[in-house]
Amino acid sequence: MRRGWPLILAGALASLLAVALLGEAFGREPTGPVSSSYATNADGLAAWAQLLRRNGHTVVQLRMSLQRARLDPRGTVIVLDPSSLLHSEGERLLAFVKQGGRLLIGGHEPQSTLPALLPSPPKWAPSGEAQLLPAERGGASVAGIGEVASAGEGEWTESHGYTAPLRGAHGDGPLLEKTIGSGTLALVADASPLQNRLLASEDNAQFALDLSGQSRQPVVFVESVHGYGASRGFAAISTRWWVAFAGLLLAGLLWSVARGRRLGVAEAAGEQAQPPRADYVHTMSLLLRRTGDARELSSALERLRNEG
Amino acid sequence: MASSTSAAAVARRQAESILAERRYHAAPVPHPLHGLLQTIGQGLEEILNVLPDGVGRVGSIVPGGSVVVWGLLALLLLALGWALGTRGARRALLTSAGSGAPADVATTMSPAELLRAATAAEREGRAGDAVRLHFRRGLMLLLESDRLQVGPTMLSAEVSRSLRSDQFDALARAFDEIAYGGRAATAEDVDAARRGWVGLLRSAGA
Repeated sequence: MRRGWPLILAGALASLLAVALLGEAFGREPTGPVSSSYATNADGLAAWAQLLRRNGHTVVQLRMSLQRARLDPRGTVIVLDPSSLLHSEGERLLAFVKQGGRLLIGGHEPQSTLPALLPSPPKWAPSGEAQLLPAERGGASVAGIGEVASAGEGEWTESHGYTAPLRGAHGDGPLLEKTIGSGTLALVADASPLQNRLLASEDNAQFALDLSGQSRQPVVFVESVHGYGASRGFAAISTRWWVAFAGLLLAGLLWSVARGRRLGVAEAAGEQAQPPRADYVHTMSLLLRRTGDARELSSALERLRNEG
Repeated sequence: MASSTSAAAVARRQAESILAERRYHAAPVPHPLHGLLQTIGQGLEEILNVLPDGVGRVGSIVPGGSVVVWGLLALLLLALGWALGTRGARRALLTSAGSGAPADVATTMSPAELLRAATAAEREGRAGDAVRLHFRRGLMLLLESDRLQVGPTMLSAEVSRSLRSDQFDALARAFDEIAYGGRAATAEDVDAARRGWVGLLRSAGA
């Protein structure tokens, strides 16, 4: 009985591992990059995109690079929590604003990405207030809002040259706006009020609709800044991965060649071993016996020698 | 303070209904080791990021940048692979040379062990084995005394030409008859082998 315990324990552990791996492999988990309109997890913006569609907006999830994209200046472009932003992309976005577009940009630690767009962006702090109220003259961005709930993960600490439509008890709040050319630039210090986790809290849903511009206007979520590319399926596999696959294939082929049987020229057969001496002697004796008289053999051999 | 409008309430209800959808919630599949696996994954990610980060840092001070550093690392890896491969192949050759040949089975036994084995075989009535073991022991002692310069596959005839000894020729003939000729060995053969080898080794100074 004692010997059975390790087996039972190993079986239980194996079952647990199997369930864990199956759960990880097939269990559906909301997932996606932070502030991506594809992301259904707490930090995603999928619910906002869906809310916009329900309210008549045309929602575009832009996977191609910003330089190649055609941005409609009547619409709103949203770039929140980008992993990086190139200077050329910043220039493209600024040109869109000057043409009359509305740009919503920012997120956590914006000082690493905003310089691509603005030479001197306002200062940001990684804290904020959970309860945000609309300013007296907040404008269209906070129309019909009583209160906005926030995770307090960022705020602007200076607002010179900007308007702050949403304010906390202290500081300048998480939203700054500025008119550039014919359009509007909205800087977001904290995207949490717009993310799935807080969209249904307080008046956040209305705030999200207000920020997106008028109904039926196109809203573009820039997804290339979250790592999404224009290609899908096999075409989405990057060149460096294909190079890695080719390297692995080559390594596998080399391994096969190294381990496999060589198919070169045929090896020469080894020399035939001499038969056992007893058999040899036995055979010779039989031959001698068949020859009959030894003198006959001697004469035959003598004749052969003379002929040869 | 501004107050919520009915539009805001409608938008909130819409958001609530959207967020109630299945895709915003985890499926009811058990995840018994989710935390552990996630921790392992994060740890591995950190480890795997060490190399690219290090290359990036070194690349910032090396002329040519990260490409040059990756190239150098690739060359280093190739050199290491070549060195290890060569070493492995050499070891494999040595191992196969040291264990595969039947002739080496005898060389793994010392002359004293061969003598003990021969005595045991004689006592147990295995005269053929005793003759073979005496022969191997004798050859080994000749090799050790440098009286003989032969390899493990040398024929008896070659040893005979090298030694030019009638005594060896007699011993080799008896050995060949028993080992290769199929002749049944007798106690006299064993006795002759023992005495013959003692005499031969003494005369050879082994």
